[in-house]
Amino acid sequence: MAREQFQTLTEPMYYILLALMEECCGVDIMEKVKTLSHGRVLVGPGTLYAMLAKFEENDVIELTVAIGRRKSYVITDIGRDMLKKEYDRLKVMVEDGAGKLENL
Amino acid sequence: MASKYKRVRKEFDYMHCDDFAAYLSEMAAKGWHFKIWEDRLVFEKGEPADVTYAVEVFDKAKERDLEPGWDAFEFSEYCEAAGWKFIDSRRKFYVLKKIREDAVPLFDSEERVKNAWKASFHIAEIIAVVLCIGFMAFVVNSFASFAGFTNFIFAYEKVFRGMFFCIALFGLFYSYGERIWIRIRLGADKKNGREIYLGNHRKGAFHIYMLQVLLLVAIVIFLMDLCLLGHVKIVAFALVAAVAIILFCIFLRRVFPKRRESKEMLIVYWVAIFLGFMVMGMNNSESVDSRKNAAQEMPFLVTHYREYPHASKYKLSDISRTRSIFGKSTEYTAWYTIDEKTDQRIRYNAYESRCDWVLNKIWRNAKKEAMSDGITYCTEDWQAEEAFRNGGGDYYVKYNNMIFVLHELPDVYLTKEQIDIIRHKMDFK
Repeated sequence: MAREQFQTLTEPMYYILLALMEECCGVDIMEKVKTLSHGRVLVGPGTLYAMLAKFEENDVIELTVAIGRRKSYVITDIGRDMLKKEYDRLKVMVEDGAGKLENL
Repeated sequence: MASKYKRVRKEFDYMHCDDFAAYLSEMAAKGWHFKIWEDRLVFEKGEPADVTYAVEVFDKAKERDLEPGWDAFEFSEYCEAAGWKFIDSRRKFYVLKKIREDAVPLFDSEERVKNAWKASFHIAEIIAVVLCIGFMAFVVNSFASFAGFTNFIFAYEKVFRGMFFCIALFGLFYSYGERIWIRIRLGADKKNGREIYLGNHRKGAFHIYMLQVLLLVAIVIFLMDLCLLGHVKIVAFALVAAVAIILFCIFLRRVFPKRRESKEMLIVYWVAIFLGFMVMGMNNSESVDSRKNAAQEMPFLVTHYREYPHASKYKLSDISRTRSIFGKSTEYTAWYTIDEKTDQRIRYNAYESRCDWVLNKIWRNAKKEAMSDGITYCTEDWQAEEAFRNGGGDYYVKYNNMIFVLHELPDVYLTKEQIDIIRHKMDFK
């Protein structure tokens, strides 16, 4: 199944879905990701465009508004669930490493 | 007055995106700014400027796209937000110009390589490679036998078909080899933290130009050789065939504009050229019509060296000649009556070539095949470089520029006198 490719989210995937927790125009997602990650994660337009298409194809996000070429998206329940699972996974990893890595 | 526009024909493979972008930047530095992509790159004259271009492979685009589709315009909105202005697209290439210093790279490096690599290979090319390899394997296999090699090496159309496939295979392997090399190098660059560069720092698809030059050279050699041998009619025929190929290719480009530069069309062009070679090679062999009295045109007949009272009745005869740049092959055949019920055939071949390796190859093949039946040497009788008789009664005789093969009956052993008669008739020195 295609959703298997989203079992573990890459950083750009994670932040794009985070940005789409609220309805957002596709073009504005790049700036929103930059803001959310404090400038650390930059998503290129090619990467973003391809990823939005894949997310939409797999019902991870849905199109809400389409005016001409400008489209807006928002995350779906499937996407929210995926994002939450990834967040929990990362949290567990941080907690597992907390005792050993904090003093490095 | 100098033109405001310049049209340039340049070919780049998908694995050479950065070479393409570098070329556009170089042109901009000279004052020629990329404006639009028609069947050639169109540049508009302006002030020299330091412009950064990006050429990317867009996965959603199709090989047959000749202009931007809806996806391209939608994508251009994203690019502009990221600091890139979309200029034009063709096939899977998208060309953009940097409009902000802080423009974000369009794709991450891994995705760039993946898109370029995936677009770079087309099923039509893979089929072409398989066909070429299949044909070359057939040729190599035929080289291993006496009949296979002699049938091939002295036939124009077969030699040039072989040359065509060699050139095509060389071009395909060079092209594939270069792409694979770039991919390997990119992997090493990524591992060592170096910047990814899609290309070889070259200004175009070198292999395509090289192929075109090689093909042209092959065609010129082919036609010159035909002229030197006096085959004016065949040369005229070949030129007509060449013009027909060119017109056919132009016709295809007009009728199927959407597929004009696609890899499928490239394969169609090559098939057209191959068919052209096939047509050029037609009318290659010269045969005397089979007539009762054609036997008189043969250098010798069986009655010249053996006694057959009824053998003067030659029922059917044929002289068949084929030639190529490697030499010529002549086969003489005549059917004659021995008695009321029995017909037999005399057949002999002369293979002439100025290429030692051709004659040596024929000789090695002949000896290898004859070994299984056992051979008897008769070099002195024939006063040749080497001569032998195989178990089936065939005589193989090698002279300086020729190999002569006489197919006799298994129970016939020629005497010295009979051999001398044949030598005299064939004018062997």
